[in-house]
Amino acid sequence: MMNGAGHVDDLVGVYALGALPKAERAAVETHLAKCARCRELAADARSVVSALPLSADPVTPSPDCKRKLFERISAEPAAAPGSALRPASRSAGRTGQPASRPWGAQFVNAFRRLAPGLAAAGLVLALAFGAWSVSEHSRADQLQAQMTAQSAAMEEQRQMLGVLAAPDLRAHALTGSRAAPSAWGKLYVAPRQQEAVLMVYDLPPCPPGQVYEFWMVHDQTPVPMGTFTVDRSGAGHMILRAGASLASFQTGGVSIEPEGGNPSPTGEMVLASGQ
Amino acid sequence: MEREARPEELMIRVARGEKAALGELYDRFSGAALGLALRILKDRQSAEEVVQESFWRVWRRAQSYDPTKRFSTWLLTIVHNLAIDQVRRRGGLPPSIELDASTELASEIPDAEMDVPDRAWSGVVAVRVREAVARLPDAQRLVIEQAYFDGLTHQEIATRLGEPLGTIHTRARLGLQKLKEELDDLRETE
Repeated sequence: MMNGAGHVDDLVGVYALGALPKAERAAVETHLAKCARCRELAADARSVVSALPLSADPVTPSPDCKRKLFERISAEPAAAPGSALRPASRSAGRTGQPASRPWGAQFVNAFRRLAPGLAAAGLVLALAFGAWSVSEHSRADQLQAQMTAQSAAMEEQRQMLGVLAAPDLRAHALTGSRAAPSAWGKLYVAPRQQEAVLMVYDLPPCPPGQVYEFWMVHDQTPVPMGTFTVDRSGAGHMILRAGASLASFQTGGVSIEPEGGNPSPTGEMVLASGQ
Repeated sequence: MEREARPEELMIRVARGEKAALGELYDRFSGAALGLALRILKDRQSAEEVVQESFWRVWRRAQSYDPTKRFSTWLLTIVHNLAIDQVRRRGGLPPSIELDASTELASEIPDAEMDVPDRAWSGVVAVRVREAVARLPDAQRLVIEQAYFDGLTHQEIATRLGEPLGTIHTRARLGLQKLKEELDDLRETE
């Protein structure tokens, strides 16, 4: 099934279509975690498969379907969405008080997926399905490299989670400018810790030699807060430690600047908050 | 002017227990969900049950949803897996894909930029996707349809068509490649 180097080119089609039984699928995924080239082929195949539902005509369900769904939801105890914790705080959420704990739990999972590189996933798969690897020798080298990358990723995740789990967490929305109308983002601020996490989505990749830079307006002056780039899906993030000024965050934004950043914004604004 | 909330933003509200946000997602996507389920199951009642179950799972698993991934792909993967599971059981076949959380969540492997935009769920793009599939060489289209809409494994397809496994693999790969070319053209002319 696989060629000598273990590449899975010919399998990406059936893999993406879900036509591989569990064991073969796991073997392919173990390889994909280590091989950027095959990963790209698989991603292309998966994106086409995600369009296949469009080849089926949409059909409006009967009103009964929606009614039964919401009856089922209402019949559930107050703890609702997968949370076994704190039914009391969930109803507090409904009366308008921000429920930061359920938020934190949701983003814990989101940030696990944002960890740079696939090191974490690859490590788990490689260990769980070790019998499927191509050779013991190269596997040991791969695992070593993955563990190094993984500890850097885990440290970054730990820092992000430290912000998101803050009990006084506040969120500010950022919306796209005319230059990037579909972009959006959130600045999560933990005022007492004087730390924040910036998350952005749907930003186009920066032209070569340029980066995105985040600003906070303090005393009517934009203060540079750091630079970042985005991945293929247009998502990016940054951890900020800005001291007391974070607690009094009012407005800020993201602009395109030359690599290395600028002391004051000169480039096009793509995201802004405080609207 | 207020921008319509993105599905990914609505999911954040669903994770907080807001039924209205789930209702909004249901209103927007239940048609596509039922269309897919019907295509696979071919009977209305089972298909509607799958739609209901799928949105139920969206509600229950909202906290494990990754907001950086597209909601429609996640939802329709759930619908697809549930419908295929049923159609295989009906046909007396063993389950080929385990319906555990790892297959329902958008995987760690990022989707390419060509994720279908949500506004495509109605209208012109849908017609073009259908036409692109119909235009595929029969051999390739058959493999894709049997894999995706009938839920057969590569071995089952190979047995049914009396072809070697390698042939099935190649047809799937080439068929998807051809579709990608056609759909990429679509994006450029949009």
